Amino acid sequence: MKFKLASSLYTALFLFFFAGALWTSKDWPWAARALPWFLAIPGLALSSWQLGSDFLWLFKKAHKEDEGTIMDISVSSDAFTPVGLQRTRKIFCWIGAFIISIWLLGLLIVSPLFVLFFLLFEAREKWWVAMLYGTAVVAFMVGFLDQVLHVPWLPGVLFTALGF
Amino acid sequence: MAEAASVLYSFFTTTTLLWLFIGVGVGLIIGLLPGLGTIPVYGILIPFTLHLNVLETIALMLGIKGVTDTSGPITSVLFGIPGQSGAQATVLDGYPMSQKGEADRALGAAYMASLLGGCIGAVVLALSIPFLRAIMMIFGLPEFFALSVVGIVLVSIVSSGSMVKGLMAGCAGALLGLVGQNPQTATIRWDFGQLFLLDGLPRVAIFVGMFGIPELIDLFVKGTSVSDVPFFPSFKKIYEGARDCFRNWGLLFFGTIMGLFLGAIPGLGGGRISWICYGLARAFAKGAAETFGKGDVRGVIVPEAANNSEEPGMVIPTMAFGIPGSPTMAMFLVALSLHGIQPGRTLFLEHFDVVLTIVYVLFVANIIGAATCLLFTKQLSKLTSVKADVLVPMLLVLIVLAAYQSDVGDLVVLFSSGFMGWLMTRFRWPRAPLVLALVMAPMMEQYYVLTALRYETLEWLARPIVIVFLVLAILIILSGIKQLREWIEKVCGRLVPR
Repeated sequence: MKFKLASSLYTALFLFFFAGALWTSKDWPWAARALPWFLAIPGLALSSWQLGSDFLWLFKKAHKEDEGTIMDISVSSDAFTPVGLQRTRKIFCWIGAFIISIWLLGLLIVSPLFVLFFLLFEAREKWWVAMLYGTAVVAFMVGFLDQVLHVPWLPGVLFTALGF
Repeated sequence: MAEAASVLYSFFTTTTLLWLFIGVGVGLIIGLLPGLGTIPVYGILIPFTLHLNVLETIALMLGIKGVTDTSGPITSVLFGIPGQSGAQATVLDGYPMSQKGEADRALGAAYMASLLGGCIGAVVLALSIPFLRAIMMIFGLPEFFALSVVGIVLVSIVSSGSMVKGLMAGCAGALLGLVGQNPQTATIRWDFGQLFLLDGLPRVAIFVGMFGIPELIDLFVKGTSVSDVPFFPSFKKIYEGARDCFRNWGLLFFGTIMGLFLGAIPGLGGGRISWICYGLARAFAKGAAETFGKGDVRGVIVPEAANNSEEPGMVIPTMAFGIPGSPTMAMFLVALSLHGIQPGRTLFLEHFDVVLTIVYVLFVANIIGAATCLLFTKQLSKLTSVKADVLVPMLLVLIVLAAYQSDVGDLVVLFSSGFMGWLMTRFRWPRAPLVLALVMAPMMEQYYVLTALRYETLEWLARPIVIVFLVLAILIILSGIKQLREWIEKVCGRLVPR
C-alpha cells in the first residue's frame, strides 16, 4: 500500500511539473511558449490519466496497466527487504553527508576524505587499503584535474566565510 | 594511387607513429573517465602542437578523438555509468549483460563494433571524398528539422512496456531540454535567476545522474558486486562477443553507415547519433522489441559501431567545407590552421596528403585502440566482481567529478537527476525516453525556427530528403502504435471482459 501510494505521489509530481510548466510559460511570446505548450499539454493529460490509473490500482485493487517489462535496467528486488531498506537509508545518508561536506569544505578536500571514511567505516577495510584508495583519489584530482586540466574547484562555504 | 602510397610511407615514420600512440593512449584514458571530453584536452594540446609538424599534429589529435568512443563503453558496461556521450545508449544493454556475468562478452562486442565501425568509416570517408560536396549540399535546414523529428518520435519506441509513463517521461525530458534561451525570441525559459541555466541544463550531469546514481544505490543495496553470478572472465567470451558482431553484420553495417552519415551533419553529436541508431534498431530489428534493454548484445553493437564511425563522418564537413561537425572538430581545425592548412577546395587540391593522413590515422588509431582495450578487458571485467562497498565510494567520486563543470549548479542537477532517476527505477518508469527527448527537443526547436524563418510557405515539406525522414518518422510512430494498440487492447480487455 505504501509503495502504491508513493508511486501515485511520484506520478502527481509529474502532473505538477507539467502544470507548472504551463503556468510559468503563459506570459512568454507565442514563439517561445509554443513547444513548451505542445509538450506540457499532452504531458498533463497523460499524467492525469496515469494518476487516475494509479488511484484505481490503489483503492480498487485493479490490475496495474503496465505490468510489462519496461525498456530499462532492472533494479534489484533486494531493495524491498528490511535489510535492503536499511542499506538504502544508509547510502542516502552517505550521499547526503557527501553533498553537505562538498558545500561546506569544497570538492577537492572532501572527495578523498569521503573515500577514506567510507572504506574505513562502511566497508570496514584495513586502514592502509583505505589510505591507498584515498591517496589515489588525491593523486588523480591534484595531479591530473588540478595541475594538468586546471579545473576550477568549488570553494567551501566554510572557508569562504572564514576568509580563506 | 602513387600519392596514397607515398603518404602511407611518410605516415609510418617513427615520430608520427609515436604521436599516434600517445594520442591513442590519451584518448583511451579520456574515454574511460565519465564526463571528461576531448575539448579541455585539445585546449591544452593546441599550443603544444606548434612544435610538431602537420602529420604529427593530425596523428596526435585524431588519435585522441578516434578512440575516445572505443573505451567509452567500459564504464557503461561495467557500472552503468556512461563513459562518453556516445556510450549512453550502450548502458541499456551493456550493463544488464554485466549483471548476468557477461561483461567480457559485452566488452568484446563493443570493441569489435567500435573497431569495425571506425575502420569502415575511415574507408568510406576515403571513398566518398570525390562526392563530398554533393552529399553535403543535399542537407539544408528542413532536412535537419525532419531528422530531429525522427529522433524525437523514437521516444515512442523506447517507451515500450510502459507507454504512458514513457511518453510522460519523454514530454518531461523535452521540457527540461528547453531550459535556457529560446532561439527565436531570446526569451529566457525557466532559468530561476541562475546564470548556469542560461545555456540550458548541464546534460552530462543529467545523464550521469540519471543512469549512474540509481545503479550505484542499487549496487550498494545489493551489497554484493555488479555481476549477479560468479564471474570468471575469459578470452573465449571476449572472442564470443567479437564474433557476435560478425553474426549481426547487418546491424553492424547499419550502425556504421548511419553513424558516418549522421556524423557528417554538423551539430548532431553529443550522444544523439547512438540514440537514434539504437532506437531505429530497436524499432526494426527482428525480435529486438522483446530483447533490447535486457542484455541483448545487438543493443551494444549498434550504438558502438555508430559512435565510432561518427568520427570519420565529422571529418567530412570539417575538411570539405570548413564547417566543424562538433566543437572538438572546430578545435582540430584551429590546430590545422596554425600549420597553414585551410579546409575546403584548396585542401583537396594542394594538401591531399593531409586528407589521406587523416584517413590513415583514423584507421590505424581504431585498430590500436581496440587492440589495447582487448588486452585489458579480462582485467577490467574483474571489476564487476569487486564488492560493492569498495566500488561505491570510488564511483560516487567519479560521478561527481564527471558532472562537475565548474559550477555548484552542476552538482545540484547531478544529485536531483540522480534522485529522480532512482525514483523512476523504483516506480518502473523508463529513463531512456526522458534522456532521448532531452537531447532531441532543443535541436528540433532550433531547426524548426530556422526553417520557418527561411521558408515563408510549407514548400520545404516537398523536399525529397524531408519526405524520406518524415516517412521514416511515420513508420516509427506506426511501430510504436503497434505497442500502443496492444496496450489499449489490454486496458479495454480489462474494462470490458470478453
